[in-house]
Amino acid sequence: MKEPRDAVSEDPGKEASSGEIADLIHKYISRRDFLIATGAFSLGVTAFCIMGGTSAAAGAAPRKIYVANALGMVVGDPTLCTGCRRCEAACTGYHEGIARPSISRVKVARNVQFGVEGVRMNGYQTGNGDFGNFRTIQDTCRQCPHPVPCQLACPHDAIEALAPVNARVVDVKKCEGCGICVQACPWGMISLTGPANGKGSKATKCTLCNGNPECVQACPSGALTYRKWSDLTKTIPPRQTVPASVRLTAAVAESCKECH
Amino acid sequence: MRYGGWTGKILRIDLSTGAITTEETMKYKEYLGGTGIGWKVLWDEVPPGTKAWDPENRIVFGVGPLTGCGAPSSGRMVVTSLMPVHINDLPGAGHMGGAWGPELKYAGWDSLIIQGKAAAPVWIRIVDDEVSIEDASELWGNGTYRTATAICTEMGSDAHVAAIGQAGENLCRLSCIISDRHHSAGGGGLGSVMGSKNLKAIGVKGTGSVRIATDVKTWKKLNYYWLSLMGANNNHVVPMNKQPWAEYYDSASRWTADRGLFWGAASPPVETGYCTDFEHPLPGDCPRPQNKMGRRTHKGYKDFGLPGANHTVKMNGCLHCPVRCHIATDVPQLEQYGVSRYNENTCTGNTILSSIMKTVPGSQDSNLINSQMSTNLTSDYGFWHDYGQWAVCYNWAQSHVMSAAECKALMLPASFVGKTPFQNRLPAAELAILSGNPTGSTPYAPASPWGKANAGDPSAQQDLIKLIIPNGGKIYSKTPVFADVVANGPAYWAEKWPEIGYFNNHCTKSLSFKMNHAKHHGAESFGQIGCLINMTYNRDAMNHTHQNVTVGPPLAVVNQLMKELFASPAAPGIFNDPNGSDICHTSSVDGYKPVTAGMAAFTAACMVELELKNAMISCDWTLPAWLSPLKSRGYRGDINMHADLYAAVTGDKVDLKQFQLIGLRLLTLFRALTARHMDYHVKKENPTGQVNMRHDHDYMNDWMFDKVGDTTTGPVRGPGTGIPNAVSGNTDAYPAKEVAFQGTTQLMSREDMEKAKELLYEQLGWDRETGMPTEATLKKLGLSYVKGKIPALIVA
Repeated sequence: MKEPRDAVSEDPGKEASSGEIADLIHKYISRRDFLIATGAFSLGVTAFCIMGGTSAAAGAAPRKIYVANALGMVVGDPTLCTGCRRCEAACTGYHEGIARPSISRVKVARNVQFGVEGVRMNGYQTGNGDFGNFRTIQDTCRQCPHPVPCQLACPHDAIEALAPVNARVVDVKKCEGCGICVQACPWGMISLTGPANGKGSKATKCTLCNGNPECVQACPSGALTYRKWSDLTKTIPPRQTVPASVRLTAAVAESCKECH
Repeated sequence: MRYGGWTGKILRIDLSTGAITTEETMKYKEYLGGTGIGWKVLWDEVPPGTKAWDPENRIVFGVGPLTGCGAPSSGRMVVTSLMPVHINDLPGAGHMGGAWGPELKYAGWDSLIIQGKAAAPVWIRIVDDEVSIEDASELWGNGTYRTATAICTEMGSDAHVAAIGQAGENLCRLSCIISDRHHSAGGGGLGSVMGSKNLKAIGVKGTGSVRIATDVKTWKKLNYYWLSLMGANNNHVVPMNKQPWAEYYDSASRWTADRGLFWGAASPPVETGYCTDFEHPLPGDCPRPQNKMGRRTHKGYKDFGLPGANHTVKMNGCLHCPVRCHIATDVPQLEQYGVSRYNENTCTGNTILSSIMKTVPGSQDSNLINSQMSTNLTSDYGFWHDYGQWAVCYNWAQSHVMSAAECKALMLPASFVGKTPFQNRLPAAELAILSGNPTGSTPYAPASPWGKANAGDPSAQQDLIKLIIPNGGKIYSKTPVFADVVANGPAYWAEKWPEIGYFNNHCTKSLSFKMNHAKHHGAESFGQIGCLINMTYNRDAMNHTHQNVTVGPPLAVVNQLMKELFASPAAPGIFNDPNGSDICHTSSVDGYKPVTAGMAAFTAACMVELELKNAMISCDWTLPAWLSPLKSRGYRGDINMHADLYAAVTGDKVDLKQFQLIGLRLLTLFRALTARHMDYHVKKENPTGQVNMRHDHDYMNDWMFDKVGDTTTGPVRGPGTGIPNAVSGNTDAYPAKEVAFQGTTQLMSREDMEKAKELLYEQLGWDRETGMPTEATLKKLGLSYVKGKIPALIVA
C-alpha cells in the first residue's frame, strides 16, 4: 500500500518560509516551527500545540504530537444507506486491490444486521439493522482532534497527520501490527490485516483519500458525504471501552508536559 | 499461476461421519464455481435414482470467482442439489442473495459441499478456517429469524446465517433456505434437503479477502465503466415515466425513480428524484449520477403503487450491488397481529401466502399489509413460493367447480360434479377446521381461516401456515390431508389429485409451463424465446436474461441491437444467425411471427449467459449489459463485459467466445445430468426404453397451444392429461377468435415450436432428434467423460 506522503523537511534547523508557515496547521510542529508559527497565530491560524523539546526526560525522547485538526471527514446518513457496502468494496478494492470488508476503513458490515447495539435475543425485531427497522449506520473515522487516541497510543509513532487534509494516517513502514491503536479507538475504526503482532500485520485506518474519498464516490445512494471537519467525538457514543492497559507511551507523556 | 478471485479451497462436510475435509478448487476450474461445481459434483458423486432426501445426495453451497469481489452484482450464491419438489428428484439450483455467499469467500472457501445425514439436529459453524459441527437441538423447531439471531449471539453480529425454518425441518417440499432474514434459496425445496440431513443452519464469518488479479487502477476503471452500462432492476435501461433528461421511457420499466416519489416510511422520507444515467448529471438534483443508482429502482412503488411507496423505509438488496431490488417496509398495522412491522422482500417473494387472500374492498393498504404478513411468515417458516404455482393451484382447488365433462374425462366419481376439489377431497373434519362447516361450502364461517382469508384478514395467514406446516411433523397436523397436498407442491399434488395436473396442463389460468411447475417469463417474453428457455430447466426457469431485454428503448431499436450481437455476419460471439433474421418482437404488437435462427441464437446466448452468471457468480436480475442507458452508445451495452470482468478478477485471460464455450460446457453438463436422471426413471418403467429429451423434457403445457373447441390436442404428458378441450368441456383456453397473438394472448403453434427446438439445438451443438449433446460437442467442451455414463443417449 502506498500512501500519499508530503515532502516536508524534518530538519529542525531549517528556516521556514511563509508558505510553510501557512502549512503548519497541516503538519506536526517542532519547537522551532512553533516559535515561527506563533507569529502565524495572529494570521488566523487556529489552535495547535507543540511537540516536546529536544531535551530528553525520563529516558524517553518526546514525540511529535499532531495538533492540527483534520480538514475534512466522511459523514454517513443512515436514512439514505441501503446497506450495499459498495463503500467497503471501494475502500479496499481501490487501495489494496482486494475485497476485504474486515479491514475496510468505512465500517458498515458490523452494523448491517443488528445495528450498532449489536445482536441480542431480546427485542431484536425493533432494533436497528436488517433484523430490525432497517436503519443502517455507517461507521466512519471521526478524524479526532488532539489528543488523537490512536496516534497517542501507538508505541511506534506510526500514525501521523498527513497533508493535504490532515487525515490521521498509518505509516505502514513504522507500523508493527501490535493492534494497540485498534483498542485505543473508542469507535473501533481501526483494523489489523492479520493477527496482532503477526508477521506482516498492519493497521488500516481511514486516510480520507486525499480529500476525495473512494467510499463517498462509490456510494450509490448518496448516503456518504465528504464534509468540512467538525468535532463529532463528543456527540457520537463510543463503541468500545478503551482498556485501561492502553496507556500513553513515555515519549508521548513527555511531550504532553510541554503544554499540560 | 496464482489466480485472483478464487480462494483455492473447497470445504466438504460429511454429516454422517462428521468428517470435515478440504479440496483444491482448481480441479473444478473448468466449471468456474457455483452451479458449475454443483453440476460436476452431482455428476461425479450422486448416482441416478438417488432421491433428494437420501444421505447420498449432495447439497452444494456454491460461490464463484466473482463472489464478494466488490464488482456490481457479485453478492449472490447458488445452492445446487437434487430437487425434492420434482417427482423424479431432478437436479436443479436455488439462488440466494444477501451477503452469505461473499462471507463464505471471505472465510476462505470457494464452495461448501455437504453430504450424509447427521444423527441429530446440527448446525455448522465456519469462522475462517475453523469449521465445526454444533448441536442444534435447541434451535430445532424455531423459525429462521430466531435461529439466525441465536447463532449470531454466539458468532457475532457480523456473522451471516443460512437457515431452514419449520418447513424444511418437517420435510415440506415447498421449503427454502433463508439467509440475512429475507433472502431465500428455494430451488425446488432445498430447505427440506437440509432438513433431511438434520442440518438446521450454517453460520459463516470471514475476515479474509478476495484478491483482484488486475491492478488497482484498471479495477476501478472497469467498475465505473460497468456501472455506467447498468440500468435499474432487470437491467431496465430507460425510466418508467417520461423525464426531461431521457430520450425514451417505458411504462414496464423498474427504473421507477421520479420527482415526487418517496421512500415514504424513511425518517425523514427520502425523495428518489430523477436518477439519471451517467451522461446526464443534473446539478442540484444529485451529487453525481453514480450516487443515485441505488434509488433508481423503487420496487415498493412498482409492486404496490402509492401504498407501497408510503410504507417503504428504503430499498435493500445484496452485497456490493448498486441496484437495490428488495423492498424494506414498515407496516405498523402488523403489530396488532404480533409480528414485526418491518419486513423485506421483492416480487413473488412478497406474495407467497397473500396470493391466497382476498383484499379488503376499499382499503388502499390491504394488499400491502397482507403481502408483508406473508413475507414475515414465509421467511420465518422457510416456505418456498414455487414462483406462485402452488398458490394458483390452491386458489383453483378452492374455487373451481368441477363440471360433469371434466369429471368424466378425468374418470372422477360423478359425486365430484358441482363441487370444488378441496370439497371433494378433504375429509369433513378438515373442511370444518378450514371453512367452519364440514362441507367446505360458502359462505365460510367468519372466524375460520378461509372465512378470514376471504375477508382479507391477515391473521388468516397465521392460521393457515400452521395448518400447512405443522411444527413437529405431520402427526401434529390438524389437517394432514390438506397439508400433504398443499405443502409438497403441485407435482406431488397432481400425483394424488389428477384434476390438479389437468388444470396445470390445460388451463390458461394455471400459468404452469410443464412438469406442474410455473412458467417464468414464457411466451409473453418474445414468444418462442421465452418458451424455449422455460423448456430447458427442471423448475420455473430462473433465467431472466431474455426478459430483461423486453423492456427498454423502442422494440425496433432493441431488435437492431440484438441483431448486431446474435444475427449478423460480424456477430461477436459463438451464437449467431449470419443471415440476420429478426429476434425481438412482441405478440401483442406484431402478431405471431414464425421462429427464426436469430431467435434461437439469442436464446442459446441467454442460456449460456445464465450458466456463466450462476457460476461466476453474477446476477441475472441486473445483467447482462447487452443494453445500456447511454444514448451516446446508441443504447449499446457491452457483451464482453462478463468475460472482461472474469479476466480482470482471476487473471485468466479469456475472450468472449472462449467464455461462452465455458458457459456452454456448464449448460451441456446440466443437460446430460438431467437426461441421466430422467433416463433412469424411464428405464425403471420400461427396461428397454430410453429418454428422449426433445420429447420427454422439452415440452410445454397444452394450454399454450390450444383454443376452445380444439379436438386435436397434440402429444401430451404428465398426470391427468390427454384430454381434448372439446371433450373436457374446458373453457379456460384461448377463445378461437384470439388465435395467433392478439391482445395479450400468447397462443403458440406446435409445429413452429418443434422447429424452434431444432434451431436451438443447432446453436448448442445438440442433436436435432434427441435434444442431446452430440459426441463431437462433448469432445469440444471437454465433456467426453459424459458418454461413459450414458452411452446410448449420445449420438455421434
